[in-house]
Amino acid sequence: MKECTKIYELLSAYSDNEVTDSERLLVDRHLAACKDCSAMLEMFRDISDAVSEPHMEVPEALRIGVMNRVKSESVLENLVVSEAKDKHRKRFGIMLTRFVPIAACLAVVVLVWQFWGNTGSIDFVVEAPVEMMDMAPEEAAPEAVVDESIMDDAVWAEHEVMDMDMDIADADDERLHMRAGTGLYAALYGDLAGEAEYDATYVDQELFTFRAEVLELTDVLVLEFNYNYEFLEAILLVSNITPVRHPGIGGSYLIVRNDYITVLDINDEIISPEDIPVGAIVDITFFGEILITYPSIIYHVTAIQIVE
Amino acid sequence: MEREIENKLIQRVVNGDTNAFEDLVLANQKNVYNLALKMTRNEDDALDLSQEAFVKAYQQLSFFRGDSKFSVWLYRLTYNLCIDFLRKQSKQTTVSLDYKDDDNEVVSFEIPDLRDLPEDSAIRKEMRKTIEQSIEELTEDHREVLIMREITGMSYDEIAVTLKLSAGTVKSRIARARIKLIESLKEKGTYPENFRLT
Repeated sequence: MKECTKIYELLSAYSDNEVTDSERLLVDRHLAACKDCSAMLEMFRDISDAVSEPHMEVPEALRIGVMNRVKSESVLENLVVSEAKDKHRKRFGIMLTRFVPIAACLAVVVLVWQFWGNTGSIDFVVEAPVEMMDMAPEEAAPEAVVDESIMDDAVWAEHEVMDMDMDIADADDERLHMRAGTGLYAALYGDLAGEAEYDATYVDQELFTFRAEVLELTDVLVLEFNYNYEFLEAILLVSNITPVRHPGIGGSYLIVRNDYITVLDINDEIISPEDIPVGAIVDITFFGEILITYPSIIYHVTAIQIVE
Repeated sequence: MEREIENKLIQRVVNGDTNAFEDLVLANQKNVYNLALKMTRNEDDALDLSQEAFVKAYQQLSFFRGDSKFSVWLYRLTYNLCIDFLRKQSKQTTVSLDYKDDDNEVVSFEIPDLRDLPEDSAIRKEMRKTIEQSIEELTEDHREVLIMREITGMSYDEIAVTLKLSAGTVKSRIARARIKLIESLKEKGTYPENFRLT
């Protein structure tokens, strides 16, 4: 068989109807002249048929099982988030361990959490870390220990990554790892297989902390997550944000509650808010239900804007 | 299912009509189940994962933005659940290619009849079996993308987004997977050069 190997990829796409008009023309013309490629196209189609036909009968149990489960759930139930003082919540901290400010947008995180339905309040906690106080925006943040064993580089092979690694750990040291990609996309990757309370793809009412640099002060604190690319988007638009205590004064953190921000100290007492200066590094922690769709969630991170 | 109809159903479910979800299940269960089955090669696991996929889709329905078709969204969810499952599993046991039927007999996973050409049926059986084996011999990268395409019918672009690849990579991997299969079949003597199945 004559090897028109260069055209095979095109033929394969052609058999899937995934060619442009000009490509189609090219292929048609070639096929008219080349018997071997005509045969190859047929083989591609045969292979498709062999692999493709969904054949196995779907068991009734599937439909029945699904409907039983969904009927016992309310669509909105899963959007409930708990109060900041709920001590039974598991805590996850997501910390940006190092980041390189490239353009104006880099090293800045805007997370937008959109709350569909209204079943409760969302608490967002911003914790200002003491140790970041003197850090200039150009400096790289100290590297944290990353649990590489849970990272699968093959997952990232096709995914652009920038120098942002976020490590998530909860109080019990369950670890999720988040890595940010270029174009300000971050992906969350985790393995919670050991935890009986939730499976690895659904995290229930967890506390997440993001550390980010403040680039500018505007009217709105916006936190955004896009889960698994367009899979899921959570956006919380917050207005009337009360400024928070300067990072470096330890123990204070910012809570976003619905559409306002309260500053609490380490004892959960409300304290007087103060400015977050531009260039400050803040930890943002929030409560909420997040669906993590393995192998990754894509967090669309844009910019953090904190209002004064 | 038409996208408009899908979206209407979704709206109903989000507004509280849980029963409307069943139509979405019925419309998509074949592909979801077979995708899970192709990936896990185990009926019980496929059933569990398919159920999980639908339930999670239901739970997240209010977040579904309608940028893509619901079914594509659902396939991505299914795929990710399967991957997650397989990763967990590979830490423990080897993946079995066989499953147990009702009599608890071990049966090889089969691809049922392609086309009904009696004079070719013996050859077809042979080819099917060889194809199964050859699919197993593909690298994971190639197998996944081929399965995605053949089972769900997603476009190259949709697959690209789901698997976090470029459309070009999807295109070339599918082509390479098919070529490998053809070569494999030839090697095994099941697919003679001039053999045609039409």
